[in-house]
Amino acid sequence: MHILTLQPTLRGLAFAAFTEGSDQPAVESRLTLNQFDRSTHLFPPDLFARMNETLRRAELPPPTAIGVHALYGGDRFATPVFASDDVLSELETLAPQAPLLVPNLVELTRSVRHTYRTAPVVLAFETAFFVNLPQCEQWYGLDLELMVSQAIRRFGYHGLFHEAACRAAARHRRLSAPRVLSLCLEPRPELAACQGRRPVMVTGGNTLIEGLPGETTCGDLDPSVVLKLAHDTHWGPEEASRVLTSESGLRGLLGRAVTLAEVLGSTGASLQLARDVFLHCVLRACGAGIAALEGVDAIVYSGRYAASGAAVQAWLGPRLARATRCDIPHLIHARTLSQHVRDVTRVLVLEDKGRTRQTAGH
Amino acid sequence: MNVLVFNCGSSSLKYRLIAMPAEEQLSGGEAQRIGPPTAKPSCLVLNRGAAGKETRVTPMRDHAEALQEVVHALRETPGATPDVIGHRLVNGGPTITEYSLVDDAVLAELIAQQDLAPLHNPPAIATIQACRHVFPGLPQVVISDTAFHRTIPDYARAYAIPHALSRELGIRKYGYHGISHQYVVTETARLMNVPLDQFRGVSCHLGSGGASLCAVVHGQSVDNTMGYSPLQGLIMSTRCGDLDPGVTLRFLAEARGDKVAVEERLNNRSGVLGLSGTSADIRDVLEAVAGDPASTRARVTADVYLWRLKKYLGAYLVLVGDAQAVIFTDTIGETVPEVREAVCSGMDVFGIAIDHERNIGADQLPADVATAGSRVRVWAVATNEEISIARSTYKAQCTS
Repeated sequence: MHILTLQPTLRGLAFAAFTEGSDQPAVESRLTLNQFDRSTHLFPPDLFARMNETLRRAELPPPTAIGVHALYGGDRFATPVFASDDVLSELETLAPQAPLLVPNLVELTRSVRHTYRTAPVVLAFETAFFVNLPQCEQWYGLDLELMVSQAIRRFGYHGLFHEAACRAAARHRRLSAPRVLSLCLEPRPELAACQGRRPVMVTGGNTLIEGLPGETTCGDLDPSVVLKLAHDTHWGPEEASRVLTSESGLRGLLGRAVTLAEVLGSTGASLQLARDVFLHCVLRACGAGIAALEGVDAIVYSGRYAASGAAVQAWLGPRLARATRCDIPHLIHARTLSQHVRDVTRVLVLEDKGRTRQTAGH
Repeated sequence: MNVLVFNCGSSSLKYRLIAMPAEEQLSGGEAQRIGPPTAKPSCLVLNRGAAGKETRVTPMRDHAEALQEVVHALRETPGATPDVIGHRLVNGGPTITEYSLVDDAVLAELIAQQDLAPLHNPPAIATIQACRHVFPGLPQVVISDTAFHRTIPDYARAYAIPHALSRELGIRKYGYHGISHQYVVTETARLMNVPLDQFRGVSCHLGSGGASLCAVVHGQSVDNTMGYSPLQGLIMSTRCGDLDPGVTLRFLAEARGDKVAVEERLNNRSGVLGLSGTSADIRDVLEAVAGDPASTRARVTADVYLWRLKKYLGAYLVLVGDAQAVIFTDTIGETVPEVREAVCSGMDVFGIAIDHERNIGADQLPADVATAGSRVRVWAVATNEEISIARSTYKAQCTS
C-alpha cells in the first residue's frame, strides 16, 4: 500500500509519501501558499499539480490510500474515518466549534477526493483520542448547560502522538495498561496522563491556546489577564487571539522567534527565563497527571522535538523522584506526525479490506 | 499594645481588638450587609465572648458608617482603646511587599492601584480614610494578602505573553489568601515541631467563596493557584477558575467587547453555581449527591470541583518535593471532611494516607487526620487572619 499523508498548515500543506513496506517516507515536503492563493481559494488546484510533480520526479507510484491529518473532530469523531460525502457534511456542521480548523480541513479533503478519485481518503483526528475524556476533566467551571450546548469542553490536540506513546510504554514496561505521562514536544507542547490508552487528564483545552506555553502560544492564562489585554490595548477579540496565538509563549518571553528545542537544549542565561517558565509548567502538569492517575509507570517523550526529552528528563526526573520517592522509567519515542497519520490510515484501510473479504466470503 | 484589626469585605467589615503580644482578644464583631438595601437589613454582630453574640440592626450605607458603629461598640468595652490599626488589603500591588505604615504617599499608591482587586480594595481604602478622621494620629498599617507570595520565583510569576506587554500593564501572578496561608503554615510548623524555615507543604485555603492552594518551601510561598486576579485557579463558589483563553475571547466576542459583562459572568455566575445550576455552595452540592446519588448534575459538579483540587494538590506536591504536610483550612477545608478525604484519597504515591475515622471525627481543630504511617501529615487547621494581621501590625509598629 502506497500511502500519501497530508497535513494542512496555516501557510500551506505538508505532505509525505510512503511506499509499500517502508516506515520512512520516500518523499517529505511542504508547499507554501501565497496570499493571493489564500484569498481566492483555500487549496487551489495547482497545489496538487505541484505536489504530484514532486512525487513524479521521485518516481513514486500513485497513492493507493491517503491520510489527512485532522486537528478537530469534536465529540462526533472518536475514531479515524473514511472521508465520505456524509462524513464531510457532518464535519462541516462542526465548523462553528472550530472555525479556524474545520472549514480548511473540509475544503482540503474535498479537493483531495476530487483529485485522487480512486484512493480512499482517511481522516486521522487528533481530538478522537480525547472524546471520552472523563467528565471531571472535560468540563470547565462554567454553566454546564452552556458548555453542553456550545461544545465548550476540554480536548487535547496531540492525540495521535499520545496514543502511539501509550502503546510504546506498554511494550517498554510490559504492562497491559500502564499509567503514562505522555509529553508531546511539538511547537504547541502538550502533556496527557493516560491509563493504558485512556486519557484521564490533558493540558490541552477547548482551543489550541490553553495548556503548556508553546513556541508562540501563551498557554494557561488568568481569564482576567485576557480581558485586561483586550480592554487596555483596545484590541478586539480577534487581535487579542492573534497575539496570544502567534506572538506569545517562548517568543513572547524572549522577544524573538525561537524553537522549543533551542530553549531546552541551551544552558545560556539569555534563554533561562523561557526555559524555567516552560519546565515549571511541565513539572506542575506532571504532578497533576500523577494525582489524576494515582501513580505513574512511565514517562514518554514524543513529537518533533522528542530528542529534547533527554534534557527535560534530566531536570524533571530528580524532582519527580523526590516527590514520589521512586525513579520513574522514561523513554523517547521519536516518530513523526506523518508516520502516525500513515499508521492510522494503513490500519483503517487494512481493517476495511478484511471486512470486505469477510463479507464476500459469506 | 492593643491592635485594632480590620478585615474588609465588599459588603462586610470584620474587626478585632487584640492585645499584643499576648494575642488576647478584647473585643470583636462584624458589620454585615453594608451598602445598598438587601433582603435583610444591615446589622452589627458583636462577639460577647461567653455571653454569646449580640445583633444590632442599623443602617450602614458605606464602610465609613460601618466604622462609626464599630467605634460606638468599642467605647462600650472598658479598656478597649486601640494603639495601632491593622488593615487587610487583598492586593497590595507591587509596592506593598510585606506591610506598610500608611502615610499620604502610601495611601495615594493604594488608591492608584485599587483596580487590582476591584471588589475588596476600594472598601478597605475607604475604611483607612475614615479611620484617619475617627482615630486622628493613630498609626495605621496595611497588610496585604499578596505580600506572602512575594517569594514566588519569577518563572512561576510570569505569564507567557509578550514581555513588553507584561511590563507595561503590570501583568504578573500576585497570588492571594496570603494572610491565611501564612497563618496556617506557621501554626502547622509549630504543631509539628518543625522550624518554619524548614517547613515544606501545601496549604489548601478552601473558603465557601474563594479558594486557593499555596505551595510552601522553607516556610515561604513558591506558588499559588490564583494569579493576576483572584479569578484563576480552583473552581470556586461563583468564580470559574482556570479557563481556556480562547473561551474567554469567545465570550468577549459574543458580548461585543463588553469586558464588564464577561467579568460578571466569570466572577458571579460560574464555578459551583454555574455547574450545579442551583447553589454556589459546594456543601449543598455534596448533600444533594449524598441524598440522591442519581442526581447527575450535582455529581458532575462535585466531581469537577474535587478533581481540579486534586490535580492542583498533585501539581504542588511535586513543586514542593518531599512535603511534610498538607493543610486544610477555612470554611470548607475545616468543616467538610468529605472534601479532605476525596482530595487525599489515592495519593499514596505522594506518601499521603488519610485516616477515615480521624478525619470524620475532627471536630476540634487543629487535628492531624493522617494515618499513623502516613509520611505526609494531613492537618485541618482553623485559620485566623485577624491574628495574622495583628502579628504583622505589631511587628511593623515595633520596628518602626
